[in-house]
Amino acid sequence: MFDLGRTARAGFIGAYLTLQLGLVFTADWRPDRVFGFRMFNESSSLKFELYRKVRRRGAERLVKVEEGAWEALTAHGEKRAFSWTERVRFGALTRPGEFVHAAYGLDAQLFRLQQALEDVVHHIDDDRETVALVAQVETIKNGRPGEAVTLEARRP
Amino acid sequence: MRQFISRVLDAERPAYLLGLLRVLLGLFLLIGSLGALREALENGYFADFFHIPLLPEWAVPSRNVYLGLLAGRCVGACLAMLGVGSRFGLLSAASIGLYLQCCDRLHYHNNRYVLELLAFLLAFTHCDRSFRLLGTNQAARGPYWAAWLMKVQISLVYATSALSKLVDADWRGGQVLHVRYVHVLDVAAARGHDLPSFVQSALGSPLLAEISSKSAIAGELFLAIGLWLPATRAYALWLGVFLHFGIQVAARVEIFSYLMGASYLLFAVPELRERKLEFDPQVPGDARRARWVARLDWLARFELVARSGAAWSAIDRDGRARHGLDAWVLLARALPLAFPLWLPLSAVAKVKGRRPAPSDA
Repeated sequence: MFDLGRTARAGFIGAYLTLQLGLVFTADWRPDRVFGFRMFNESSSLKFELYRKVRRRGAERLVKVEEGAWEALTAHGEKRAFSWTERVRFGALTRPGEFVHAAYGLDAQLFRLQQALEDVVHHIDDDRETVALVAQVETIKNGRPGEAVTLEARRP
Repeated sequence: MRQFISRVLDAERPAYLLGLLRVLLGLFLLIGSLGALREALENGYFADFFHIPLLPEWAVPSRNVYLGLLAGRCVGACLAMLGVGSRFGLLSAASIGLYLQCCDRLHYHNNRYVLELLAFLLAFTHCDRSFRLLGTNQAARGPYWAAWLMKVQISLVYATSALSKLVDADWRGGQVLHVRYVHVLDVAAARGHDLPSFVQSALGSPLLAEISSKSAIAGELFLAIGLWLPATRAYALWLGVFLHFGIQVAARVEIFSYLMGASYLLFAVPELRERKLEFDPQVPGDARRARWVARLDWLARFELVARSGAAWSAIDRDGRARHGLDAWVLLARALPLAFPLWLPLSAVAKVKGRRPAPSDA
């Protein structure tokens, strides 16, 4: 199995190099540059504040989520506690309101944050009040203030 | 071109050093697997929480399958280390690792990915013939195409890292490193450490950041190419050792520096004992030194030749005997523990060599 013949060796080398070069050259198309060997690519950080979008009197309003936790009415009309960190355990995304290093760059961390919002909003079936989760993000790219970004994930 | 392809595909070379690399990669795989197991047992199964799979969700393993895979990866790593079914162990441990990396890109790290790739490729070499805990060691030769591919992979890592920094104005201009250096100052101040003022002004200087950025890019480019050329290989290895030592001290990079250090075994000439160390066994000091060389000669670079009346000398591959400081330079170049001393010793020897000999008069 391991001792390949000459043709198989050539095929293996060709396929391996094609795959690796393909992954390297397409790394910039992936926000977190996975499989791209982009080491220490930025010294950036970001801070996000978490909000719930709730419907009140026919209009949608933003309500700040303090310390990653909130209470909302369930379908049975009872109050239940919800927490951002019930789902999100990824270190840098567990601390809203705090500047944290953006591993593999801002794009990577914003991508992860968007995915985290989507994930949480898909796992709060009991919450009958929250229409969407919103993150308002301050960014610092390589030591300079970057764009303010708003990310949103709506309930399905 | 045809000759080059034939050389890559057909070359057979001693596999002794690949055995040492197998043990080291097995150890790194085991450390990584135990870390993942501990995390799963302490903090829970990753897919019970927010994760980002590259594969479709249905292809992500269940909790029990995940734990089973990690246990299997530990077994594979142990097999690789012990030299029992080691190629199968390497291939299975690396394949499980690559699969699990595709199950959650939150846990992706370049050093983990490089480790899986190198372990995967190493399984296609005759790395199982030496450094075996059980069974006899064989001085076997084997196909070297997969080792060549591993070397290409190492160069690709350096080249990609360097070029991506080179095209980034913030990186090549020093801004990225400047922020990191200033962060070091902030952390030191927050912890109450009083750094000397020259360290503070150096770390706060954009000029230092710019110089070190350009040096880092040039260094990585040099490593990508210089490791391949006989004339520059030792310089590249020496630079790599210090570059990775610096990275290990300054940043949290898991096993990356050790992994790259281990991978340098691939760039050592695989042929063994092509150099000689001649000494007189009757001279107690020489005999003792020779025993130390034998102990530290992990890469089997030297054949020890005990000859009555011989002067202590190290003989290089070209047959040239070196005495005195020049002999120590050659020893430092070939013995891994002494290798960091090689370039300074070499510089001293060159300076001494240029100095005119004292007049007899």
